[in-house]
Amino acid sequence: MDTRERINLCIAAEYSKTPGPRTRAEGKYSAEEFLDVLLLQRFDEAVQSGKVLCVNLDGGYGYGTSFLEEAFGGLARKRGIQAVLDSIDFVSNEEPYLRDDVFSYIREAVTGSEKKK
Amino acid sequence: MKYVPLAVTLLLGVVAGVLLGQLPCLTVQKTIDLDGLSSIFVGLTLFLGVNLVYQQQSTAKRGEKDILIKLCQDVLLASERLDSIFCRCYKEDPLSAQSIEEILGGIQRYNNAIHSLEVALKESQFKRKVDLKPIKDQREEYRSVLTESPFPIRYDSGTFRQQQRQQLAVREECIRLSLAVNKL
Repeated sequence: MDTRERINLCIAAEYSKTPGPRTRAEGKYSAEEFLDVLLLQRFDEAVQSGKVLCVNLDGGYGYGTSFLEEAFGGLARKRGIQAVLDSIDFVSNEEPYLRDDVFSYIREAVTGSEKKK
Repeated sequence: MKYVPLAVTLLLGVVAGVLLGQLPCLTVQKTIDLDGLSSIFVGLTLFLGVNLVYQQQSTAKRGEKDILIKLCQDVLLASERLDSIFCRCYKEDPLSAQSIEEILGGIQRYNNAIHSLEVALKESQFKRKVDLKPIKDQREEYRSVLTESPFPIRYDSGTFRQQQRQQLAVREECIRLSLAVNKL
């Protein structure tokens, strides 16, 4: 079990309860905006201080595949798959399987983006 | 009704014994001594004990199968509800907040149904005999079809047919799973 301290990020409370599409061009509350404005900054903060970023997925209306893939797959594309796997964790009590799904988006970040194209 | 096979087996045993006794090469002892009586008693006790244990195991196995098949049906029902929600909303452009919420709720119900099936399977004695990977992969693919961009703004024109293809895949997978569980 990881004993490192945690930095929390609750998407519903800090970003939006109704996460939107993949890119900014497609609409508001996009994954691209979430990644640039909040996730990257919080992730870097966690890595620099040797902590784990704990992302809480509960509380919202639900997530589209495109939002999760672009946000967390995008984070892995920018910071490296292993670096992300080492410093991130998820809480999802409302949809327990979501945690595994997001980890698979991170692991397949490169092939996922190729699929998308 | 559950004692019928037992009674039939007993009857067949008696008939077979009588017929064997008619064979000219066999001599049947008409009386029975204490050794014989105790042998019969021990044999019967063993038979009834083994039968009782078997019946209990068989009942538990049947019960687990019934639960798993019921959970497969729940997955099917949840997917049908999701289909109905999608067919009602997919033409909206842009999708209303209520439709988005309903679609995401439907997806959650469908995913929860598969999750419950997975939990039940892990707790059952069949956990190594039934493979849930295909239905879990299919769940992710279905979710992707329904929530890939431009969702939650609207749906592309081809999404309806893709969604129907996913419905078909869910039905096929649930039937495959139910039959696999039933065969165990």
